[in-house]
Amino acid sequence: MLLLFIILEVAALHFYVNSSSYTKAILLPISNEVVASFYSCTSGIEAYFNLQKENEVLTSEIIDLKNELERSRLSVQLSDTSVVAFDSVEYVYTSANIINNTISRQKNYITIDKGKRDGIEENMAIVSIDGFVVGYVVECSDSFSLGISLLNRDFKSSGQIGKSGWYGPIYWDGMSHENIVLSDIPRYAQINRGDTIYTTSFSSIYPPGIMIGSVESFELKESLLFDVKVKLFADMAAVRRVLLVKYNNLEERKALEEKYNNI
Amino acid sequence: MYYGIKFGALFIVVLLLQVLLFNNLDLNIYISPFVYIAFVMLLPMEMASIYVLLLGLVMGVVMDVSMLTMGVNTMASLFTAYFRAFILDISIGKELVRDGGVPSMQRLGIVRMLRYSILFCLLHCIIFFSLETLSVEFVYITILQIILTSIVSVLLVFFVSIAFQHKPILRL
Repeated sequence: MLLLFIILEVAALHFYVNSSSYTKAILLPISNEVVASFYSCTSGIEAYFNLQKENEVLTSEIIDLKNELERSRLSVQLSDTSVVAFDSVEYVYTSANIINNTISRQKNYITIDKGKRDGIEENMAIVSIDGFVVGYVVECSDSFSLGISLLNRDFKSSGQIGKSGWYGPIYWDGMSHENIVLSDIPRYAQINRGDTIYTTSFSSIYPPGIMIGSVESFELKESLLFDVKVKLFADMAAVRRVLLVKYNNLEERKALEEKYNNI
Repeated sequence: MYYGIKFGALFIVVLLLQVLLFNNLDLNIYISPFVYIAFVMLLPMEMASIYVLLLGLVMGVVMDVSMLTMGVNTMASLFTAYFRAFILDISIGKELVRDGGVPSMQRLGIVRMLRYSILFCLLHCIIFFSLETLSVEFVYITILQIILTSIVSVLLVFFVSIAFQHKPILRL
């Protein structure tokens, strides 16, 4: 009896400790078919009640895009000598729905209703429909994907402060679903409350210049570096529709960077 | 047989409550109510401990799959299932435990039942949150999580136990 208890407990512990954030998603295919399909069913009902709000967002999106189109048409007319290379687009966007998302765990994950079949791949960025960072994809099955949320202790990326351009790693301290931390900002950096934090071009996942949040407060850590408390723009508790962003040059860039890291 | 159907129903009800309602509540990081604890807690007191352990295992694995928590739920519910007999002994007393039956307010009185629920939920939450964090860096958050979630879980479990014991008015 005691032996059985210890064996089971050790087996569970072994499984827990040996599951990195990537291998964690191995469970996904198992839970997918049952849980995910269940969630997509219930979230369908929820989505119905959010239609009104959804519509408003989409309408304003359309207006923005139309304006953008007009502007670019204008600029093409003005400079007809410029060549626009459409076949070399760096980032490709796909839209999808979040069907399960937690914010109260220390390691939160996002389940998305599109998978390999829809062209979703690992390391695609997850951005909310209004253009704020939400997370990135870590594992895909045929028709679902699992994303690591911004609100996950394993989430790592970098961010920069809009006006001054100082950058540092961002991570979640596990405290609140509204804040994350931008750390290692030099003490001589200019930081103001309300400054916008953007993604950097160092990231092999996010396009540079995607908004993350704004500076809420900042404090010196060991009197050397600033820790900046960032208020997230994305409402992690309510995000439903997302854009998945694929970085087309990821392989090439990684190969080049790794070549010198290995020497 | 009667017990089988009754506890099968309880299993499904707490499972659905947990997966469809409480896992989606996402109040904040401090409170994540566990209603599924009620299943192992309310098993008959005379049940052989090996069955309690195995049922705890089943419940834990199901919860891990649904919450994507990779074994934390399993470890916590195995732990409480294994030490259930001990918790029963110290919170209710050997006499009443020997009489058997389903732990309930009518059978044990509100004080003993409350003591049992608190110990049970507290143990579960201690295991769950300390394993989930796996660090002493945020020990204050972990303690706060344990206390707040335990309080909410005790209330939920208590509610489930009352509902579970309630005699239907229309007897078939």
